[in-house]
Amino acid sequence: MKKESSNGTIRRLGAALRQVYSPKYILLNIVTLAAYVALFYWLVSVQNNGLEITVVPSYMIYSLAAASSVLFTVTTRAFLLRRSKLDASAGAIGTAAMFLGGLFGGCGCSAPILFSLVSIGIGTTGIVSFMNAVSANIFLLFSLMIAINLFAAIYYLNRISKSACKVR
Amino acid sequence: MPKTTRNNDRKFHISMALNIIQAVTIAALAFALLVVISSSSQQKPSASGNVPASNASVETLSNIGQPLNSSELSVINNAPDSYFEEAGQMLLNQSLTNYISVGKNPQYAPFIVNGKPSVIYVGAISCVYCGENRWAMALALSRFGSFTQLFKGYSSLGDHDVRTLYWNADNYNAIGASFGNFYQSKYINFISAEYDSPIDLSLQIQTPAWFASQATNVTYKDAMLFMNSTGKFGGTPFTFWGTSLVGGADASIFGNSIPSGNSLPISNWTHAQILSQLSSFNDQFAWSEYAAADVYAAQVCPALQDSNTIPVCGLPAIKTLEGLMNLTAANQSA
Repeated sequence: MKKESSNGTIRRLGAALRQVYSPKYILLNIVTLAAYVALFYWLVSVQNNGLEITVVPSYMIYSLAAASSVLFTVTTRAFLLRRSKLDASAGAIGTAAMFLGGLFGGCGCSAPILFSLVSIGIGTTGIVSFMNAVSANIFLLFSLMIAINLFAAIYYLNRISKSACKVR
Repeated sequence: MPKTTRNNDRKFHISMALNIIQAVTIAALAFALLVVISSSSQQKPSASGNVPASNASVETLSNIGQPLNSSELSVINNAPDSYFEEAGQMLLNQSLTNYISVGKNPQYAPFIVNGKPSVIYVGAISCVYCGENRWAMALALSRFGSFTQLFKGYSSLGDHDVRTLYWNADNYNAIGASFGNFYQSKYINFISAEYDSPIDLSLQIQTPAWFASQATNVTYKDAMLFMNSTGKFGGTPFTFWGTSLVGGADASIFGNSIPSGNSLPISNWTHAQILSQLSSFNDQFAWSEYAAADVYAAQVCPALQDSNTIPVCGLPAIKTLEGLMNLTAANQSA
């Protein structure tokens, strides 16, 4: 079996991406992106007495929301094509990433969400250590979540671009 | 092994990895959602008001650690009692546009040192809420004593670079603990513990238990152990006023109103501008700071035997705040 060249792979994925993003799915992506941004800022405000104060720059917030919404859109399309439970649940990765982003982004001097974990036996020392680590590595964490979302999106795009389940 | 089989194995492993990630994230999502819902139901109410556009923050650490000069110190030490009364009335009739909390805080017996009750502070120089709230704390403490020194400070560059006061000549280049301050009073003790960390990096905080392990002075060690024993540490600032334990800042004052978005006006002001506003007492920022100070002062007065000799404790606004927080002398637990 002839191995596909990298150029061929890129062309195939590009074609699949163009076919996934019909007007309906572009709209889905935009709505999902807006919802994810709203989720982020809601989580931040919950942790900051209603203030949307975060240490994360806007471009990272929107990049994560974009990557997560792309994953959600691609996996939704994949599910409708393949009816695979794996595809259906894959969108949760993006949602979880935004949730974690909001948790970490709103994590400041006081972190009511994290400190509520004391009620299940996690000590304050552990929570503070975690908070300090998150604070010191916030950019790395966001970059990692963006990368995971993009990798997953490419993976599912690859699945639906194969001959057995191409977008037609 | 045939190439087809190896490819299938790789696809299977990727698929399994994604399956695991999905399962873990869905479970974590469900749990975290429960935690958030329970946390948001306990959220303190927020103030509302007009929100002007904010400028982008300009990072600077200019004059960090510089002691306030005598005229700057006088703004804090010699603020008129009338400012506290007027701001308190504005807080009570809800004409302030910043968030200030007037809540019923957990009550404990006073922490007595040398026959005086204490104000205990656990914070971090990098922390944005410690930074914005030290102005109000300093004003509150000025009603019961005076500072011989205060220092110009900032929250960390990674946490909004807010202009603030430091209680001590903190080390803003390395990790460590700073105990003590330059406060004197015949009515109360002020026991402060600040976590130092490189100010050009991110927020870093520590627990009262950690401070207790670092304290070389018995009084400070006991104070930190007391704070730790409450089991209510949930971040910084973490303070004790008279008999009231206060988790977090009692206010969020970053400008003349609640900031929209992530840009904080106080991150663009100089210390001179902030002190000028406090001295002039003619804008929402200043009124809010004095009002936040009133909330702290109202929690100290009931713990004092001779509060009737302290002018601030006789202010009508303070008396009303005491009542709202259920802190009249008759309700104090000994």
